[in-house]
This record gives sequence, C-alpha cells and structure tokens, in this order.
Amino acid sequence: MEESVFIEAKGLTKVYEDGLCALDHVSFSVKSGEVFCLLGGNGAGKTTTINLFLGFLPPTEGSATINGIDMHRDPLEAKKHVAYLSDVVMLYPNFTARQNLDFFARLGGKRNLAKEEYYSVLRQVGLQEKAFEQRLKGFSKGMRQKVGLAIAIIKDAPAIILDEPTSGLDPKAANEFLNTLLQLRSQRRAILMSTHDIFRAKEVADTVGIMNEGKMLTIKSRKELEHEDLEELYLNYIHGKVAA
Amino acid sequence: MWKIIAERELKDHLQSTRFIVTGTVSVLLLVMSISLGISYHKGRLAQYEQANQMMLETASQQTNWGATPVAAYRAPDPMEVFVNGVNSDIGRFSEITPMRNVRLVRSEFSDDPMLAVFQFLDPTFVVLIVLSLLAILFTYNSVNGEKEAGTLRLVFANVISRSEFILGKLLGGWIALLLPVLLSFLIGALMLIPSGVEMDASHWARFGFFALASILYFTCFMLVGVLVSAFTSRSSVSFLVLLVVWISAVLIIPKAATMLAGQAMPVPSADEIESRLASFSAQARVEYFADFERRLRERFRPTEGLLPDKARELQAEQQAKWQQEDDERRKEMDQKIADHSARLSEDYYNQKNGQELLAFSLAKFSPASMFQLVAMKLAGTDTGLKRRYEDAMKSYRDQFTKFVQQKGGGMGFRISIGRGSHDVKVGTPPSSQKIDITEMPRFQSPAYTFGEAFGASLFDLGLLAVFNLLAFAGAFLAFLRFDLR
Repeated sequence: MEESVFIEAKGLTKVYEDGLCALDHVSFSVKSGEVFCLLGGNGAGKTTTINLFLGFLPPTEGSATINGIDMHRDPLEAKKHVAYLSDVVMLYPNFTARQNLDFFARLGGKRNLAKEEYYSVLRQVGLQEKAFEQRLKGFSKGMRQKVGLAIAIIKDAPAIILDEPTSGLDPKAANEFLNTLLQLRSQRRAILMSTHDIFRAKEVADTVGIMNEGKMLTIKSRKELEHEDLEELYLNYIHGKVAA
Repeated sequence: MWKIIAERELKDHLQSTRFIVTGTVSVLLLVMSISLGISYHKGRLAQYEQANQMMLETASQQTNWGATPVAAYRAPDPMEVFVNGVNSDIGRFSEITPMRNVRLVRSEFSDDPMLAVFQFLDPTFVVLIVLSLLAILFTYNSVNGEKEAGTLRLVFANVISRSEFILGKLLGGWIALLLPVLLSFLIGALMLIPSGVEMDASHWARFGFFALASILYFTCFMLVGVLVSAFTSRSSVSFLVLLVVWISAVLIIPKAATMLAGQAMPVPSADEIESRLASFSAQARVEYFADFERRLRERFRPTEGLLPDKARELQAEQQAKWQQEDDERRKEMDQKIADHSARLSEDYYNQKNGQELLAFSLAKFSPASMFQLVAMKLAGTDTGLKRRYEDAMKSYRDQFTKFVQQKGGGMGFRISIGRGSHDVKVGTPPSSQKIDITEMPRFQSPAYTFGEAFGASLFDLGLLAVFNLLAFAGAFLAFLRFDLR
C-alpha cells in the first residue's frame, strides 16, 4: 500500500536578518508510518527545520507542510495535525503528570477525558503508576521525557515532531523511549525526529537525512543503510569526503 | 483557549510553594496591619476624648472667658486605620487665641521619634512594598521562564494564538494574585465591624476605593513584570531588571521628586514664616506703644500746671474720646498684623502648593507615588489634611473671639486711667463667677465627604488605570514579538 506524504519540506530556506544562512534549500518528505531522522551535529540546521515546521519561524524561501497545509500560511490549521516533543521537557513542575497531560490534551482539543484515559497513555510510555499523581518537581529527565511523549501521544495527531528526544537520557530510558516510538510508527504516524545520536537513529529510522551547515547532504532509506555503516557515512559526509 | 491557559496559570500558582508562602505572608501582614491600625485608631480616639475633656474641665474653673485656655484638637478618622499618611507628621492640636496664629503642634512623631524612624505598618505600606514585590516575584519569569522550561514551544505546537496565550496568562496570574489581597481586605472589613471603629457609609465607600486602588497598583507591577519578562530571554536578567524598576519606582522616584521640587522651588519653612510674623507683630506693637506714649504725653500736656481736681475733671471729660481713639488704634494694629499674617500665610501656602504640585507631578512617573497619593486622598490623610484643619481652626478662632467679646471678656489690652491717680491699668476687671462652658462654641472637625475624597483622588486613580493600560498594551505587544524558539 502506498503511504501518503504527511510531512514535507520543499526548498526550505532560512536566512536570518544578520545574513546567516541556517537552512539552505532543504527538501524531504515523511510518509505515514515512517520515522525520518534528521542527523547532524550542532548548528547543522536540525532545530531550525523543526522551528519552521512548528511555525516558530517564517521561512525565507520554500515551504514546510503538514498534511499538505503550509505551516507559515495557515499555522493554526496545520498544527491540528502535528504533535511535538521538545528536547527540554521541564513541563510544569507544580503539576502532577496527569495534570500536565490534561492541560496539553485540552490544548490539543481533547476535552473531558477520563482519568483512566490519561493513565492509559502514561502506562503506554512506561511511567510508573505511582508517579501518575506526583508532581513533576521530583521527576528525573527520563520520567519527564516520558510525560512529554505522553503529551505528544494524547493529542492523537497523525504527525509527530521530536527534537533531540533522547539527549540526556540514560541508555535504559532511551531504549524505552525508542520502543514507544516504534509503537507509534506501527500506528501509522509520520514521525520526524532530529538527533545527533547515530546509534539510536539507525535503530529506529526508516529514513535518515544527514545535515551539515544548513544543507541536507544526503537522504538514505533503511534499505540503503543495510549495506552501509551509518557512522562512517555520516563522518564522511560531514568531513566532505563524499560529495553532497 | 485563553480559558485553558488562565486556568492552568491560576492552578500553577495556587499549587506552588512560592504562592502558598508569600500569599500567606501577605494575608498575615495585611490583616496584622489592619489590626494594628484599629488599635492605634482607638488609642488616638481615647487620647482625643481625654484631651477635650481635660480642656473643658480646666475651662470650667475659669472666671473670665478672655483668660480661658482653649485648644482645638484634631479628631481621629477611621480611615487612618488603612492609610496613616501624614497623620503622624502633623500636630494634634492648636491653641486658640486671638493674638496668635493657629498652629498645629505636638505631632505623634515629635512626641515619639521612634515612630518616625520606623514609621507605621499600615495596609498602605504593605500594599506599597509587599504586594508590589509579590507581583514581581510572580511574573519575572512568566514568559521567559516558560521558554527556558520548554513549555512555551510545547504550548505553541498546538492550535493557540499568541494573543489568547498572553491574555489567559495575564488573567490567570492576576486572579491568583488577587486572591490573597481580597481575602485580606475581607478579613480586615470583618475585623472592623465588631471593633467599635465608627465606619459610616462614606468610610466604607472610601475603603472600597482604597481596595480598588490597591488592586490597580499591584496589577500595574504584575503587568510590568510580564512586560519585562517578554522583553528578555532569560529569567535571571528579567529579575534583575525588575528589581531595578521596583527600587526606582518605590524608593527612588518619590523621594527624588520631592528633593528636586525642593531645589527647583524653595519654600521658606513654617518656622521662618512664624519668625517673620513674630518680628512684624513685635514691630507693630513697638510702633503702637510709641504712638500710645506720644498720645498720652499730648493728653497730659494741657493738664500740666493745673490743680489735681481740675486736671482730673478735664481728663474725665476726654476719657471716652481717648478710649475710643485707643481702641481704634489697637484695632488698626491688630488688623495690620492680621492682614500681614494672612498675606504671609497665603504666600506660604501658594509657594508650598506650587512645590507640592511640582513634586507630585514628578513623582507620578512612579505607580507607587500614584498609589500613595490616591490612598492618602481617599483617606483624607494627604497633605491637605493640615490645611483643612488649620482653616477650620482659624474659623473657630474667629468664632470663639467673637463669642468672648460678646461675653465681655476682652482678650486684648484695655487701658483705663484710674480715678484716684495717674496710674495706667492693664487687663480686664476680675470676676468671681465661674464661666458656663456649655455656652462655649465647640470646634467642629472639617468634614471630608466621600464626594470630596473621590473627586480629589479621581485624577490619580485614572492615571493609575492609564498606567495599567499602557503596561498591558506593552506586555501584550512584547509577547506578540517574543521569540518562541
């Protein structure tokens, strides 16, 4: 079955007022049921790409569309179809995990959910039951990340954008996180994830886009990567040993 | 969407330890200050009644109205419970004598300098200092803090506009801050009812507007807090900026404005005016007595060389005419002194009003000054309090002087020439009958109605509201331009 493109960047370019070109004609697409990993170091343009997809920045050129809706032209409509998880997931420390979830669910258009529905999502992301009604003040980064993922899940959006979701997580927490991500993929969600973690990218990505200095150097499918060492490929592209 | 944001903001505040601790402290301080105010007011009231009673008792022992020591006392007003204002700086009473200017003396601060050092902990002080700090404490990171915590990005990944977000945030935060204030004022009002403080409808209305001014004041700081938070990307920076803003607005601008106005429009001190008046009066009396001496010499000249009986006969013929002449000259002198005193007072008050106007205009750059002015005007403990009382006391002095003259107890000099010799007698003839103090006119405190209080404070209240609108517009616009990344 041919999956439809859900997240798409076409010639996406961002030049800041000071002349810095953060993104240079980047194009890629993410289909439903696909995990697309943007791989790159600091300053590669991954976060700028995500900022453009969330409407936090206007593009200089090109377009970022969610379900065919241009985020810059109609951000409120486009945001109906996308959920987001940030790299900094402090959330609201005075709220419990369920209260945080409730707030973001209501913002995402889910009203009057039963307590059990929140608990179900929190279970799905692997948060311990006893933490459901605890304030986030004492939560570890991994626990907060799970709540963050629950927030992204409860919106029930067909597209999910994740910005460095495993940074700062211990290996166990990162592994649990990626397992949940694979579940989401199985639910036919289009997932765009930025990371500089080559190992995790290789584990979950259906497609990997290697970025450097605002340019998309290459896009490789899982099938193509089966015969290549992603780490070596990444380093070769970054150091210019392979022509983009 | 703004409702969801407002609800979250409110819940977040209510569930935070920061809110529970600071909110409780604010409520306790406000309630304690009202309780202290009630206690001070009752103390002042007892002192006032006792002083009046003692004055009447002393007066009742007198036999001559002209020699009766009378004083007019400033009556304590229930609004001083909330706003002490200049209450403790100005004198509590003035002696009432036709020969001397009305002057309020013996202020609480002059009697007890320790009070002047530490000032009063009245609800105005708590609102001025504590609530404004509280407002800053709750808003310094309201926008940039959410950015630092990553929640701003999470929120705006949803279908919500910036205007909805900032409106909800401001509303939720405002309600949270409002709760301890309303609770405190409610407790304060409930404490007043059984306390015996005589609050009439005007007082309650003024109290209501005082509460409104307090709300406008801390809202102003809250909005400035959000404005600064939306202008800076780091909460540590916005906290420092707001601390500087708070110190300037609450501590520096009001004092600097007064000092600048004092430099720009110097006004002689009240003592200097008093000294000028005393010097003029002394000079007028010297001239009067020199003239009187000259007249006496002229009057006695025709009788020189005459037999004593003939001289007395001649003097007796002229006595009525001389007395009338002396009375006229004395009245001229009194009038001259009174005119000069009125001129000096008028000049002094005009200069003082000009200086005050300049100081208050400069101070109005700060919402703290605006709030203080509004509160004092509503309570009637503003700088006009002294003038209102002095004017009322002057009227009372005139009324009392007329009363004494009617009673035949002249308070001035009466010169008579003894029949048996050339001696000059000064004073009033003694009487053995005690005066009836029930006839004595009583001093009535100047009325300060709600209409007057409202009229006087309306402009500053309006300015405070305008300040709020500007801060709101600033915060709103700053957030529309805020970098969400």
